[in-house]
Amino acid sequence: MASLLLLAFMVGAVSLVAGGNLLYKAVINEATNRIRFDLNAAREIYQERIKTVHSLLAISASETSFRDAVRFYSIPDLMSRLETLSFYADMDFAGVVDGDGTIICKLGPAVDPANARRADNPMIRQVLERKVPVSGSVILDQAFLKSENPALANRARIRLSPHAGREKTGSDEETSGMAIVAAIPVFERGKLIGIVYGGTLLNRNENIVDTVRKTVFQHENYKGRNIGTATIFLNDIRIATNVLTQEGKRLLGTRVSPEVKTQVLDQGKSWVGRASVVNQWYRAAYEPIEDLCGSRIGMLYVGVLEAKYNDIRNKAFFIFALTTFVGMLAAVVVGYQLANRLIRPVENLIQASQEVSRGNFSPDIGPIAQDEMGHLQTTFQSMLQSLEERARRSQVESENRLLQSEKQASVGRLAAGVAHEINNPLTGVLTYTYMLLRRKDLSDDIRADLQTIATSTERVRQIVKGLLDFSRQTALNLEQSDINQVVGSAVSFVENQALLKGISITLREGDNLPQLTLDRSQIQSVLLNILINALDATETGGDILVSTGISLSGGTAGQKGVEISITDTGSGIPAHDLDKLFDPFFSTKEVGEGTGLGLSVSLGIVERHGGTIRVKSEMGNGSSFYVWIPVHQEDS
Amino acid sequence: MKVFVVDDEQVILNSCRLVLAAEGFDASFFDSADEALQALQHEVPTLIIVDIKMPGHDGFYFINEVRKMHGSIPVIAMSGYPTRKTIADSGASGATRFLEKPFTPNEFLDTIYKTMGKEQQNET
Repeated sequence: MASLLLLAFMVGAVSLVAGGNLLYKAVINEATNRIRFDLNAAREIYQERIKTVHSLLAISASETSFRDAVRFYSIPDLMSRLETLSFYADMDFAGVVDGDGTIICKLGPAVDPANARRADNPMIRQVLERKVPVSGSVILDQAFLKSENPALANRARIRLSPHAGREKTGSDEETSGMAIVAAIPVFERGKLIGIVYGGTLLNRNENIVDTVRKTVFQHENYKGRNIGTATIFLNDIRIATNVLTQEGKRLLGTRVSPEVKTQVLDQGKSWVGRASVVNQWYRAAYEPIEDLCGSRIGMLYVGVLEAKYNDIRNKAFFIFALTTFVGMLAAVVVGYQLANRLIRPVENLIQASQEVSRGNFSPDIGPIAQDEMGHLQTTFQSMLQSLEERARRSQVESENRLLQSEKQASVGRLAAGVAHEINNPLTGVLTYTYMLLRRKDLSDDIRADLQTIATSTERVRQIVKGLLDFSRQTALNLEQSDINQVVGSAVSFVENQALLKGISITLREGDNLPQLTLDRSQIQSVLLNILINALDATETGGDILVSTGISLSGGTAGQKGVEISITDTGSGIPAHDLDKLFDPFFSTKEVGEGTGLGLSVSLGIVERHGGTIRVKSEMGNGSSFYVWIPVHQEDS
Repeated sequence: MKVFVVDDEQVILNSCRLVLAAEGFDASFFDSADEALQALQHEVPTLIIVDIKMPGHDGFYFINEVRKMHGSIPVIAMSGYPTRKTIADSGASGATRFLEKPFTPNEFLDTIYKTMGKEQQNET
């Protein structure tokens, strides 16, 4: 039980660690993937802004009325058009220059004719050089901004955060502005007659970053804070962002980490990873922003508050841990149930079988279950019953055998005593009878009577000798013998008697019988005994069949042996006599005809050869005696 | 020729007396080992016939004593319970021949003559 618990806990712990790890990786992966998509979306929004400026300016420039207004320097018309455009395109500055780049008109304060005759900004330079529309991101210096609108120049100024200013620059203020701009040339019969330009200053611009947040993160909240943030960098300085400081202000003027700066600004690659901004960890992604000439001038950033993912991860981990724990608990409960339903009955069965081996045939095997275990239990019980039955039977058998041998032993003792006592008077009877018979003066009838006494006494002597033989169990004189020869000579011994009685004796010798180690004369006397009994039991015209063959014994685990069967067609033996057949002094013959010792002595002889004698008989259908002798008998 | 017969059973002594007398042997009869041993102090027979199972000192004891007193007298041991052990023990204690009871006069005399004949062979 303890090991089961331990196992359950170990499995739980391992799966918790492994699962937690997998979970963490999955969450990180998901966060990383998502932030990549978010960065793409942010870029699309950024590009869309540029496209909007470009499209609106281009559409305006393509109008004939606009071209005419440029051609004829109709400033009020142009001004009203620029105002409309700036409204729709959300432009912070816009203006029109002529084919030389001299300002015709622009939004904001009036042109200072002294130093603003030519508009000196990158997009106009580009259009003048290449004569094609341009749009994109640019850096605008303080002078240009001032010339466009002093308010813009002021907006562009961003004070660098002292503690975030990791890179020492001469100034503690960023004065340049980054902007998305477009400049569209206006042609009249193939000749450049003017350029219309406009753009949006990104410094302190909240619109783009907030649109990104709104579009991409859809105002997702985590504990009252927006989880998504977007930032636009001028070089490595935050100039537009919705990352807030602890005081709730937008985090401007701080720099990105050197690592990000190196990878994004110097090497031009995007950067995705974990970034700490104002003591908050973000899953962040950065990519470079290039200007019209392809130089990297800034970065676009989106970040998701990692706390949310941690939360998701923790929640998932908690659910996972809970599941594991519940599973473990279930495993323990199921294990306990299993122990109850399976292990306990099995243990009971084991104990029961141990008790059985100690001789207790009705051990407690516990309650019987309703399932396969119950089937096993009942099978075990019925096995026990048959075992008990067998044990009881074999006990009865061995008791019978014991009784038999006790009977034999007591008969032996009796025989010894009787023999000793009888043999002395017998000697007297024999001596006096034979001495009387020596006399010459006896009349014939007295001589005949004396002869009868002598014969009868000789018979008594034989009975007593048989008794003694039975009790003495004379040792076997073993030799290698051909059993067919032994049987053959026994049969030929009684053939004359059979012939006289009109009974046919058939001998069927088995082939290839092994040599047996036996006492020929004793086995022969056994066979003779049975044969004579058979002759006595069989009427004239009957048959006696004697056959030999190889046979396995039923007793000693299929030991190989030879069986001699003697079957007659005689009167048969009543069932109640079959049991007593081998008892000493049991005889079915008339008193005076048999000694009653024959079969018990025969059985003794065969048993001392390691064999058995079996009898099958049916009243009126004759009897069969089977003498079985093993091929290799144990040393006796 | 002198024969000693030792047996506690009167019927055996009488039977032996009858046969030995008819055969012309000079015989003395004792119904216990002790009695026979006493007689042996004064007289040495040609042959001794002794029963094994007797009350008091038995045949084995008797044969042992005879062998101590007169080493080479032939002794026939008799028993009505001739087990293998009895026969073997008789031989071991010094009996010359073993005779199973019961016996007929002819068997009795046969045994005597065979024993004597063997003795005579041994002596020549």
